[in-house]
Amino acid sequence: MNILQQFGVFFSAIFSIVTNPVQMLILFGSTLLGIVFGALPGLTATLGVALLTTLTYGLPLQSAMIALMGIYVGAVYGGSYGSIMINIPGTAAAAATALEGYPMACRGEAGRALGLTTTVSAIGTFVGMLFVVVFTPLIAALALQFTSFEFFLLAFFGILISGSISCPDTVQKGWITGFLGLFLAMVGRDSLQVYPRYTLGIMELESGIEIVPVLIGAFGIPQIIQVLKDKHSTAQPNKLERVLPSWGDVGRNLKHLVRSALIGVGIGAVPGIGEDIAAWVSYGTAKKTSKHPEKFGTGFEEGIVASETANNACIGGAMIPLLSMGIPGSPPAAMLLGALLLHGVAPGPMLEIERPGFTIGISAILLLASFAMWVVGMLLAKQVVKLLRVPPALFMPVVAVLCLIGSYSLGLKVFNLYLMIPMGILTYYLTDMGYPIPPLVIGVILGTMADANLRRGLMVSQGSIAPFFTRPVALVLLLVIVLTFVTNMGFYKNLMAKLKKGKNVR
Amino acid sequence: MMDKAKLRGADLITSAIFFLLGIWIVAEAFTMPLKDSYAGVDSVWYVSPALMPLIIGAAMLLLSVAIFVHAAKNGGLESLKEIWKNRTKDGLLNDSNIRYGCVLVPLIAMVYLNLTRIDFFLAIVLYLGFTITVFYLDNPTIMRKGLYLYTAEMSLILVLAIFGLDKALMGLFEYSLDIIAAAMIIVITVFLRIQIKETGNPEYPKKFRAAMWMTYLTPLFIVPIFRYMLRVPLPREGAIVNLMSLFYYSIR
Repeated sequence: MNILQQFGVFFSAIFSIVTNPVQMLILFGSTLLGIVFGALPGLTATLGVALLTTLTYGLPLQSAMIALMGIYVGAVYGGSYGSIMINIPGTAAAAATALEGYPMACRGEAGRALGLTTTVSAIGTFVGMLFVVVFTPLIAALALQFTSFEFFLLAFFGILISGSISCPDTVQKGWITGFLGLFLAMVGRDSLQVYPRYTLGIMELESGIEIVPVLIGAFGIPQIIQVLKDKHSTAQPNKLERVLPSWGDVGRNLKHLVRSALIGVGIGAVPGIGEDIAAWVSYGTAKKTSKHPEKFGTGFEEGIVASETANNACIGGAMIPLLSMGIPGSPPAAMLLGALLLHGVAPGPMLEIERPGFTIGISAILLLASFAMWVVGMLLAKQVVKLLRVPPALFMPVVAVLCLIGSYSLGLKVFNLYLMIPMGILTYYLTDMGYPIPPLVIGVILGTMADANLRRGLMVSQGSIAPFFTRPVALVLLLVIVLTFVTNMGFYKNLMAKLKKGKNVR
Repeated sequence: MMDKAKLRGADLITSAIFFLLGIWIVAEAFTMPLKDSYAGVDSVWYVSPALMPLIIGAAMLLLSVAIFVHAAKNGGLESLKEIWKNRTKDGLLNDSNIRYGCVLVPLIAMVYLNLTRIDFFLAIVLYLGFTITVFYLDNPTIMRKGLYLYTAEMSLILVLAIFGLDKALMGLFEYSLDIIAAAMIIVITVFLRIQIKETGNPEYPKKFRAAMWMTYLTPLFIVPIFRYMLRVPLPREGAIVNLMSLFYYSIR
């Protein structure tokens, strides 16, 4: 498709949605639902996408995508409500926002803070959308040149990098959960010789572990356990008068906005790294580069711009590897991958060949979702803030029921639920002990791809591993993997520390 | 995440578990066709289904050793001793564990016992009625007593399931387990109401009412959405769901 045709597809997608009242209702409804999900502490964007996946299963693909993108965009933005109004971030992605938003609200500037958040979140999503349009086809075209060796290395790289960045403790913990995910993907009959692996003689395991129940188990159940187990007090929200778009604040912070959007997109594009890391990195960078770092933490607008632009720009970033290579860039994107697979769409380099215009269509939905988010944010902020008074004890058990029925309804298998509960308990304990969950999920998703491509590649090369070194892309990926591995090792860190010390002495 | 002092002790345990898992993965991989023929197809090492599991198993072994060494070097052993020493201090049935039990017991009971035996509507009410009430009231005494009663009720269903009496009862009357579940719901509701009265807290009756609204409204929305809009056959359609279906199809 040339650029004019792409524009044509983009605007016709927008036109078809805007002129369809049902789809507009779905767009605004799901965005509002997303904002509510994001605002309520304990409910996350991933959980929102997971629950809506089960409800949109029967809808046409475009309507389902509108609903899922709407809830994703809305929930990432909605997290800021709790941060600003009660100093309890609705989602991890909005934790950095609380540092500046809450002091602003205490000063009586809650409306200004929410207005700024709403506007920069919409701009962040829009920038992310631009990157999806530009980079997805380029990366997909590059990925078309990939052979089995590159796909194997890419899967391996995804697990390694996700484990390295998302781990709150030692990096080995991130990697081992990635391998645990890979192992879970091995359960069932293998794709080449149909040999049953690790099925323990259980018939239901022969077809392998289904991704969506695993995802719901990994992200939903620990959240429910955590929220109910910990005592949560409901705080009284600050007073909110009028939500203003704060265009003046946006204009003053244009430099920070652009930088934060780029950080958000960049981090989003790294497999398995979510909106929370994007927000923190952007906030940290803003503080480091600010002329007034001492003002951070006192209700400084630069901080809000940094975190909120980055976390919403991350959505577009996360969609790039998802659509171009089938590798989710963030946990909600992993859920989206599950939803796409349920609808018979296999994201990856072949996507644009099999479904021309799909990426552009997703970009159009992203644009409309950011618009819907802005409108809903401006008009219904006061009503959403009222929901912050609802205690989690009232809705978390309902979410548990939705997780169960949702998981069951996808394959009508009670066995999925039997797997989901231990999976949830396992991930709850792993999280508690500093093992990150995104690498595990990436492992489960990419496991089959890694296994099949490694063996297929070796079949083609008759068992020779030379293509790992002779194919340029494979070699680059291999070097990146080695570099990721080495730079995270203790000896390398010690060496670097010694070198730095030596430099300082001199 | 738990605090660093405890974390290193826990790391020793988790790394040992991962190590054992790694050994099992590798051992199982060696039972898979490596170079020999499987299903009439001659295999070579690089096509073997064991290839990836061997890589995964080996990586898990190495990484678990690395985590173990890191934990041992950073006071893991002392932390483990401390955890072991403190294990009996608060007792198994301390408030924190009771709270945890209140999350897990109803959830596990619903999935493994109730969903396939009891009418879906009643299974949800049984779960929500207890969980929402005890967590919304957030009173340790009510939570503890409620959990004991709930566990006793679920034990009864477990006994019925173990001895196959559930099927025998359903053979006698299709909805017999639903009647038992309904009785359980009444017992737990009355019990919680009595407990609330005993505390004399004026806030509790209001909270109890809100919890009950939530308990009954949820299945009233969920069942029609999944059963009639999304056309999902529910895990067990018993007395209430069949009654709803009767009503739905008669007005349709």
